[in-house]
Amino acid sequence: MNAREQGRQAARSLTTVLALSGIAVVGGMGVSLYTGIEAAKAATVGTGSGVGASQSSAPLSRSQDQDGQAVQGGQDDDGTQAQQAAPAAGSSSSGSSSSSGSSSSSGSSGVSAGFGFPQTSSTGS
Amino acid sequence: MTEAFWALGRASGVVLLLLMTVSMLLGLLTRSGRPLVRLPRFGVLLAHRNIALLSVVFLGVHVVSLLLDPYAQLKLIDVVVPFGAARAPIAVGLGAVALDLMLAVAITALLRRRLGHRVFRVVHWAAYVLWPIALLHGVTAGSDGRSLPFLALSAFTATAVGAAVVWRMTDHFVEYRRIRTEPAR
Repeated sequence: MNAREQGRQAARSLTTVLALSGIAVVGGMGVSLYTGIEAAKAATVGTGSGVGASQSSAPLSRSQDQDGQAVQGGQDDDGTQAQQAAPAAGSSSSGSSSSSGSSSSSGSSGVSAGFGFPQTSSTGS
Repeated sequence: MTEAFWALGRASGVVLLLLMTVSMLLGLLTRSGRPLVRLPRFGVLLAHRNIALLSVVFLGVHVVSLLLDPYAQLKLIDVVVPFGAARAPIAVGLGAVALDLMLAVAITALLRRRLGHRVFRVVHWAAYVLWPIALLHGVTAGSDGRSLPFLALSAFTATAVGAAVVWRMTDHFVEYRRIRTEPAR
């Protein structure tokens, strides 16, 4: 193998390594984020806030943007346009819920997907 | 299922930033005419081209996954025409500008022989604009944009590219410039 072939092979190997690493990172990080989101949804619905938290099927974990403000719009999982995105998790049942009296859920759900996954909090009373 | 597309979009965006950074650094190294450890000069150029094309593939994954995510409210036209998106028009628009520039750079590079070296070179300068716009898009539009790990990654990549660009502007950037410019004795 001459020098030219070796150089070509080295460039090809570098590209292959980067491509495979990229796929692995996307796969790993994607799965991690996805499971984090699902866990957060389950935790929010489970601990949550009774009637209010489950009223909208918009993704709960994306109910707030980076500034913590409720995001308007979006679609439900079944593809229909949501009238309003879910407010901050748990806050939709403001005040005491009629079905469960005063809910005791408080504090953050504590679920994090690692890479800056926005934590949801439920502070119903 | 929509969350899967969202997660894929976020992850591919992060990898895309890294690949674009590596491609940018290798492009600058190519221009300097220097080899890289075990890579000869032409190998650096080859790796730069391959990784740039790989970036385009990951860009495709990033865009398609976000188009399929209904929460992103992204239309096909928002991907190519900047600042018209329903959600976060400025931040998404920066991504559209970066995509347009990236496609221009990639297409002119692929058609370099037909278009001529001058056109290729002029359009290739857009890479210096494209990279910071893409970084800004990641910080402003990304769900992870203001998280500590992403900010650290952004700072690291910005430092690497910034240092390489500063090196690009120095006198000793091109390996054989002195030999080329020295008058024959």
